[in-house]
Amino acid sequence: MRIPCPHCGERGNDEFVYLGAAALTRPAADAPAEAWHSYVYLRDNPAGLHSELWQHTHGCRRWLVVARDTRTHAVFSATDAAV
Amino acid sequence: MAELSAFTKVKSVAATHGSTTAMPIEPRSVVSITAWRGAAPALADAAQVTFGLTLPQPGRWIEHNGLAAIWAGPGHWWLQRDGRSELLAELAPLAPHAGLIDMSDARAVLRLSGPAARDILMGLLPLDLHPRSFTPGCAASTLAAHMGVHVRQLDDAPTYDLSCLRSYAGSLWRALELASAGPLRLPAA
Ligand SMILES: [Zn+2]
Repeated sequence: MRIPCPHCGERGNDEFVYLGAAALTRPAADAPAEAWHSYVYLRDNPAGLHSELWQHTHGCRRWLVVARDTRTHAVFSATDAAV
Repeated sequence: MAELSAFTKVKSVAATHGSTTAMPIEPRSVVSITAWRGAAPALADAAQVTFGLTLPQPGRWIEHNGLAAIWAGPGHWWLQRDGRSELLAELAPLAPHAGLIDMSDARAVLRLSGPAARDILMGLLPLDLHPRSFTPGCAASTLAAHMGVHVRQLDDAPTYDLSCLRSYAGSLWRALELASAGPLRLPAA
C-alpha cells in the first residue's frame, strides 16, 4: 500500500503511522457519558471507503487525511489534515 | 572537549568497493528551523535578506556560502554547515520567525560517493533515485532499514549525504555495507 503524500510524493506505508478515523466529532465537554464512550471507544468498521488519519512520521511528519478502501487498500486521496 | 566520532566503532572498516567511498562528515553544525504559524513568508524574507539564502521548495536543498538549507517538511528546514561553528548564534536573525534547535550533536552524517553509490542506496532506500526523478539538489526524508534518514544528492558522481540520529550511525553503516554486498572503503584520511 502506497500513500501519495501531498508534500513528499508517493511513499510506502511503512513511512506512515495510522492514527485512527478522521471523521470523529468531539462531544461537548458536558455531553453525557454515553456520548464520550462512543467518541472514545466505538468505531465503525466499514468494508469499503474509509476516511482516516495517517502521520508521515518518517517523511514530512505531517498528519494526513487519507481516503482508503479497506477491502483493497486502494488510496483515493491524501490531503494535509491542517490545511 | 574532544570531538568524538559517531562512527568510532566502524572506523576500522577499510576494505574496497571499487572507487565508491563512504565517509563520515564530521564535525558539522546542524540547526533545525521551523516557521512559527503564519510566519513562513517572513522567515523566507529574513533568510534571503540576512543570508542570501532562498529557502528551498519541497524535496529540494540549496547551498549558499557554505550554508546548506535542506527541506524537511512544510515550513521546516535543516540548516547545515561543515565544521564546528556557532551556527545557532549565527542564525539568531531568524529567531523571531521560527523555532531554532541546535541538532549538531544529535545527528550523524555519512557521505556516499562514487559510481556504485546509486545502486547501493537503491538497495537501502525505498525511493526512486534514478536521475529522471532524483538529481543533485533533491532531498528527501525516508527510512533506511527501519531507521529514519534524510538523504540529499550533491552531484552526479553521484554523491549523497545520509543524515540519521547519531546513535544509529553504526547501524546505518552496517546497513550500507549489507546494501553494497561488501565492506565499504573509507577514503584515505
Ligand atoms: Zn510527507
